[in-house]
Amino acid sequence: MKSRIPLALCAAVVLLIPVATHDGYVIQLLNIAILNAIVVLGLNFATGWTGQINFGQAAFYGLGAYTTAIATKAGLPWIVTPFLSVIIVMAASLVLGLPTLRLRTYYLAMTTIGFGEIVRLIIVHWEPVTGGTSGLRAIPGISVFGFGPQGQIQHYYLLVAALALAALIAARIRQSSLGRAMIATKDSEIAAEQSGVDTTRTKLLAFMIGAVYAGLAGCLYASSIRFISPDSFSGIQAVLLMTMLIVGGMGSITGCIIGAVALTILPEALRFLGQWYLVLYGLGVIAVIVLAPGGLASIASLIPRRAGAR
Amino acid sequence: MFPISVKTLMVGTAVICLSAAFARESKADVAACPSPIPLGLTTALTGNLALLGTQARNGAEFAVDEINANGGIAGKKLALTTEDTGASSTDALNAMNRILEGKPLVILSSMISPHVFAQTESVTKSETPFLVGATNAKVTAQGSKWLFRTHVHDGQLADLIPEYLVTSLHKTKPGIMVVADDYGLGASKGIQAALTKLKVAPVAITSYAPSDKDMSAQLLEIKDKGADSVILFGRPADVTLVMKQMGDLGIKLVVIGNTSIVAQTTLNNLSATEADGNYAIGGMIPQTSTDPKILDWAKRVQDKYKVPADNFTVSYYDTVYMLKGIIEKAGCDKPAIRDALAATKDWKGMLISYQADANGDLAHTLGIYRNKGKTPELLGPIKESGF
Repeated sequence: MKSRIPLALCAAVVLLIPVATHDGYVIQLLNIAILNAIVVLGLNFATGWTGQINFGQAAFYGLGAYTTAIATKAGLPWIVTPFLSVIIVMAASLVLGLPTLRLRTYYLAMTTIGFGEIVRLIIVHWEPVTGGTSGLRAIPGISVFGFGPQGQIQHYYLLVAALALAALIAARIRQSSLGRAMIATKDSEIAAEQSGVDTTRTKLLAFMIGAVYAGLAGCLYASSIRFISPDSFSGIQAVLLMTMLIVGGMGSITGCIIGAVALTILPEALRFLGQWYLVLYGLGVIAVIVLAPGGLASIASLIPRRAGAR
Repeated sequence: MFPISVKTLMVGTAVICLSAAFARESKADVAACPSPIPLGLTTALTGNLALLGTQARNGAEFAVDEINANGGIAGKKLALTTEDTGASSTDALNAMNRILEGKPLVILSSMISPHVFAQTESVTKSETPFLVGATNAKVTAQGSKWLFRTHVHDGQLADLIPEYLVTSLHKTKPGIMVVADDYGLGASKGIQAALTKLKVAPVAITSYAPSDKDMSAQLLEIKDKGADSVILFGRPADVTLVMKQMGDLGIKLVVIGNTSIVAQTTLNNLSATEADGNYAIGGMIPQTSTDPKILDWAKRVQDKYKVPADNFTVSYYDTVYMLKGIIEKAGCDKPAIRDALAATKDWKGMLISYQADANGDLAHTLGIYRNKGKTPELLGPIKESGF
């Protein structure tokens, strides 16, 4: 019961934010933070729980966004696009995952970097379809049988609901046998295999579920921001997503959300420092990694422990 | 007598009323401006295009400081708020939303086209005049009546560079080499189309990623296919590398491209031999002027910011002064400013005159340059056809 009180308080704060502020800039920023949180939750399956370094998450995010943009601009109803995005990212993750997930550590990281670059190059050079480096604009918004969110606040509530659902599903998966297999694979692949876990299958599933999260977030991104270009899904974005996961707390659902929100908002909050904001931002990230290796999510658990030690 | 007196009375009344109305309106409009007058600017101050963004920011800021030092506009100072777009369109949109919260009278924005594409819908909804330097020809074709461009675009360059190469330099076997971003790839398509019209086929079409450091494979391909010239489109940093690597590989071909070839930041990193003889067509740069006032201005900008003024610095500087003139006449009514921008005709800037076309493009004069050693020389201005 006690553990539910902070959760209820958080939920109340989240729901009241648009009431407290009608600042369009703040709401838009939070919308982007929520989308990042969904992508990072996806990354957590492969990297946080299964221990596979994946720099391809931004590419899956982009694939979902471009699938949605191209489909809706071609006249397909929006309701079709989440399914299309899922099919495309599942196919892509399967094609990438099947031959490569037998690789470990740095080799897998290199492969996923390569995959991200291939996707970026296809987007940049397949201009008649993707709009090339100019991107795609005037993307139709979210609409289900003529109903859809209007304005940033309605988008905010929709995205909060999507994030809550994504977190709930992630929590259920974590509690399932698949979730336990993921953790076992991360702890020791050899030991997990000795215990009967099919580690290749587990890694592939973690990778594909993560890609689905990214694809669906991409679908929502394209339909709510209504403009996409390759620079939003580049290698820099892939590194940023990984940083969000590490800073928030690898393996923690709360950490994924905190990391994504913090690293989306922090650069904006530090804008008053002018060009120095990047220095402080970098120092902040280093400070978290050094002082709280378990990420921001671990800080809350450290405080009572330290208080008890006194 | 009677009809005359009525007529006189009516005309007289009309004249008095009109005079009073106009006198009140012009006075009231300037007086109605907020103090200070808020202007917004979003540009890349970090990331791989920070140099270009900084040069643009310098131009706008230098003009604002000058205007304020001279008493502002009707005694009201300008307040320029600048936000960094970073290197991504999402960040550019965030920066724009932040600028819009400050309810600026006019917004100046980036020379990076995807950033402007991302921002246009928000700015158009806010009904704020939006002045950009973005070089993709499609930027002003988005249908926003609030969007204007005060810098030349790659559509103009794509027409003029092949024409000059073929008809004036008599080169008919060019190789094309561009940076694989919005700027370079957009230009490459236009150049290929313009060459086709001139009945010339490029011997090689190549590109390199913005982060690439080694372009020797592309250069060797161009050389091996028997090119007599290279059409080069890129940013100063990568154009410098290309020209250095041409020297290292012993490739001696006529190079023609955008103003990165003659930019001070490029020439500072090249030897005289590497830079010599290369051509550029693009926005006007101040260093080639023979006017001592302009050279002094370029020196003052360099002294203040420690970064040379380039074509974007000139363009953004001119933009602020153009706005000053418009606000003095039209006041701080946004639709009136927009209408005045759309009606711009022969407004004399530092190096060129600006004239609005139906799309909202205001710059139609470009410069042809040639490096003599490390010194760019203006061979002459060249105008877009129809202007």
